[in-house]
Amino acid sequence: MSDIQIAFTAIVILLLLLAVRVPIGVALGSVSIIGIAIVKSPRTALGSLGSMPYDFAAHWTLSAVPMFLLMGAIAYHSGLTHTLYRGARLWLSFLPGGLAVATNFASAGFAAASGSSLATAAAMGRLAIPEMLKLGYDKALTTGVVAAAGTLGSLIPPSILMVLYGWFTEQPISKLLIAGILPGLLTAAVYTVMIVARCKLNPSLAPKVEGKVTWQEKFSVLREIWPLPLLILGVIGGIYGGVVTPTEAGAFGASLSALIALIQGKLSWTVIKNSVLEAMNSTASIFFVAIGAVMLSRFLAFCGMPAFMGGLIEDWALDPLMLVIGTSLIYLILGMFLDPIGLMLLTLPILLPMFEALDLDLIWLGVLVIKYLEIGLLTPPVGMNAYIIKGVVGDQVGLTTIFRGLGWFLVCELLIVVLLIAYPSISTYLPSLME
Amino acid sequence: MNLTIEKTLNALANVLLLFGGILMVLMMLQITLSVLGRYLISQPIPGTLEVVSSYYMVGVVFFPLAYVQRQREHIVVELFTQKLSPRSLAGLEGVIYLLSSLYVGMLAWRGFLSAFKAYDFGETWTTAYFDLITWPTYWFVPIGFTFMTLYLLLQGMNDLVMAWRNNQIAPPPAKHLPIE
Repeated sequence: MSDIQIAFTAIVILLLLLAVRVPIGVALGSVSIIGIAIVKSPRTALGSLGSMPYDFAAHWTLSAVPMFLLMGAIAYHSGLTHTLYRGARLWLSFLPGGLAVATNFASAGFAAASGSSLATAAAMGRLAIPEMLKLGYDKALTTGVVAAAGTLGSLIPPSILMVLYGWFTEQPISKLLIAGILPGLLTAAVYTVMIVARCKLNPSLAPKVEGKVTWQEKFSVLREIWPLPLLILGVIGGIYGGVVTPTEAGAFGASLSALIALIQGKLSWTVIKNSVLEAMNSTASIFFVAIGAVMLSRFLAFCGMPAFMGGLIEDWALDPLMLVIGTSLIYLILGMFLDPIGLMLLTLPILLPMFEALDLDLIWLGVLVIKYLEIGLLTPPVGMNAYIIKGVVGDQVGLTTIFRGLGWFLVCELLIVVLLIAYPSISTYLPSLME
Repeated sequence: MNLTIEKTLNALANVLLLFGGILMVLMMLQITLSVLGRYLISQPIPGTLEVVSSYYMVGVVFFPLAYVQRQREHIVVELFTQKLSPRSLAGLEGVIYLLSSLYVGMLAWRGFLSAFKAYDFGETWTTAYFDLITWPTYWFVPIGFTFMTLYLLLQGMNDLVMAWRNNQIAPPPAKHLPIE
């Protein structure tokens, strides 16, 4: 077998191992070690195990990961994220489908601050779904909007996926984080237009909320919710202005959310303990997978995979557009059963050489890759967000109804992806101002 | 006997977790103070980048590994195995954990060798202000992996025994990471 054949065999074995429940980190690492032992020598294989985990973790750039996670955990556990919905509801309920629009924006803010699509879907599901159903909102719309809007968080900074992508592709992380802003807002806007238009055309989807909201109520709620938008804007502003590095922004954001919680009297010992514990848990599991992924890229490099993939592009005279569309299909298929972080770390070592061979803008691609990963959370048969929502609503709403609701959002996503591909400047304009 | 081992292991893993937690909070505080210092009195805390990279990060990444395994929360793909009976699942996880312990154990072993090397060499990081000794934190890596290996062995054997005896007590299903 040639080295390249060995590499492809290894990838197939890897996917099989993942399917039978081998932890992603273990599967990536062990397949790569055995692969290196075959292609090079057992000595080289053992040698690469030694200092690599340390060298990988002892890294200033990647310290943004635990700090963003801690910031999100504190914002979540101290209840900072939960008040958003009340505010959004008072301000947006006048629109057709007002509660759905409010949920859309509250979820976007929640997900940006907590850094987790799944946590957002779970928490907003509990807050918003019972209320919408009580008012007679359409079940598919209700569950669809909560499942879909949570995915906005990994485009709007701070975003763990962006930090990891930046590390792997050696792109400036601050630019990547900023690049996600406009695509994230675009997504929120397209969702909103779709919801309002549907509810306008078919008012039975979303009965009007009775009773008028006074301006006094609208302003008094702002007193409660101002800290969260401030926190997100602070983090974004700090990075954009080059005042702080992403790591510093994460640490600062974590301190700030702890301070806000303290002032609001919500910073209990339990909140601190749970936040730190959750941030540590996530950090260790992400890095364990990432260490395996580093091993995989080494193994593939030994096999000559980067050159081979680059050569393929030349042989096929592959057009950038074809590659970008092909990539989206890969993510769509694998995204049906792999979680976003695992999927990204698994695919980047293989896809990156092709992106580089075509000299594509890696910041633009970062936005696209993350968009693809998030769409994977929404597609049947196993869109994870849909399952989270199913867990929240129990027997009230069937899984098919949830996916039917998500269908409309997937149509929106298709439009958004086409826009992002056709107009790269949506992704690259803001970072280009940062020179 | 098994219970004593498990209790001891839990106690030690909790100590590691506590260290990790302390390092996480210190990391947040030191970076914040350093940023404030830089802008308020034009004096960041010297050596912050070096301490964060070679101390806090290493502790925060490797100390909680054992705890994550204890909770069975390392990331897995559940889709294709979620319909298995509790017994088959316990059998499957038992085999996987025992095999995984080989990989993680190897990481621990090579980590120890690497830590010895760093110690012999007296690994340090020369900063603009002082020399930071970094060899001690090389030990965090094998310590974290060793405890993770111990949990893999313990849980693997428990699961296999459970599958063998067909106990009705199923292991808690691995949960997905609540991240993006």
